[in-house]
Amino acid sequence: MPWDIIVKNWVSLAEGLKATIEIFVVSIIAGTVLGVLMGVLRTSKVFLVQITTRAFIEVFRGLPTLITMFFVYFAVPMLFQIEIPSFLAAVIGLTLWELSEIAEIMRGAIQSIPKGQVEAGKAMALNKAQVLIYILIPQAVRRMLPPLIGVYTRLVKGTALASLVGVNDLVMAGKMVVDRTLEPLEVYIFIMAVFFIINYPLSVLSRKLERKLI
Amino acid sequence: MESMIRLENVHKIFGSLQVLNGINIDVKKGEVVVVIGPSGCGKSTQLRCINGLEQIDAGRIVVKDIDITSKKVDWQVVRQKVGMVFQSYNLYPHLNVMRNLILSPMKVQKKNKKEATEYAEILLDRVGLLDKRDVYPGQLSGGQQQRIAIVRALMMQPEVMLFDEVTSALDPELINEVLNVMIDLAKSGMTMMVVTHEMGFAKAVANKIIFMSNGVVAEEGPPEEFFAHPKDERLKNFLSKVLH
Repeated sequence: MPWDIIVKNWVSLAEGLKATIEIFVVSIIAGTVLGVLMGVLRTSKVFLVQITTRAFIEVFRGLPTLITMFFVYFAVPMLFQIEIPSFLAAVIGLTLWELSEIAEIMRGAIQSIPKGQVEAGKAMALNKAQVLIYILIPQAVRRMLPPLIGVYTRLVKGTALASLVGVNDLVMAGKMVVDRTLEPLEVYIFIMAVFFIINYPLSVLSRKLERKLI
Repeated sequence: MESMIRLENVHKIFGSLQVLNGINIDVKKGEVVVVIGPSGCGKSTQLRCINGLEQIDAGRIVVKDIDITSKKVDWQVVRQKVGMVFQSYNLYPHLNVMRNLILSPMKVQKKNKKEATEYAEILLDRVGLLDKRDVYPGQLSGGQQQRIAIVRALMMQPEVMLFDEVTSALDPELINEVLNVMIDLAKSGMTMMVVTHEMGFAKAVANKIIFMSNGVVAEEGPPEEFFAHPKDERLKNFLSKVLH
């Protein structure tokens, strides 16, 4: 097989890979921070907060990420007369899905912590925020690690959708190389290898953590 | 003598279940009051009302001179005066022993780490667990965890200690190491309210024993009198079951 296609087109493929990784990194950070926050709010005793966060989570967890992305890229600009660049639309679409998944995991993790932990914190004169910060969140984060990594591996796969709102990511760069050279085999094997290399360590890590935490 | 905890006509309802049905108890400074009674009689609930883990539906509870049933009660202030130890220890599993102990003194009482650590070391030494300062709760036996839990409550320098069936979850051979810590504490003059099934402990250190049944105080008195001449029929019945 003529592997030199990869070498010859390395510059454009590398540029695409860089965009894919950027989308992944920005989404993972934004989605994790916002998801943990949303998960905490989801367990609020204030009914309005509870119902709003729940509605948000249900909507974006249920939608295909591609539709959210299209909506952000094509529809939102029409609504508000603004322009949303491809990269941003892809990140927002992925983040909305990811943060909803993480919020739900966080909620489950918080609620799985024995009631005695909160009572001990209260009896030790901690206020609500301190119970959350020093007792609940640290324990919840430990419990949520394995499923959290599951979300991350799905996020890696989801980055491939960015090409559909015009981001020049790895998928798009590969497609252009294929169009030019008519050699899909090598190019797509290369792309598959890249995704595998990113995701395999994550799945190994997840299995390790699962064994360690249970 | 100064009253430390006063319950006046306390009522508590869970749904349609009347758990506390007009409780009156007065615990004086330095007293050890042991509360006994069949399960479901409301003795744990009553204890949990004293530091606000449960809210009462009617009546009044006064801790030292703070009316904790008033709406503007500051629980952070009350709970620093009232230490509590639970049946299931409830140590924080993600923190090592030392960090379990110094968390509240640092965050609530704004003590610096050195000061809090030094005090923790003194107390740990007193319960014979100084060598466990850096291990996690999961690596300790139940008896050791419960002794650490007692130390954790003492870290706040409370004026009253509440014990909620603290030996009930322990293997029999571990019960005494916890009871001995409690006996030492009682001898040091700590005001204590102890819900327990350990009649030996009650006989040895209680100033007053309270027998609860169906949400009321059915009988109370000093231990000699209480065990030798029980008057209430339910108490006689209860004692015949627990004293072999």
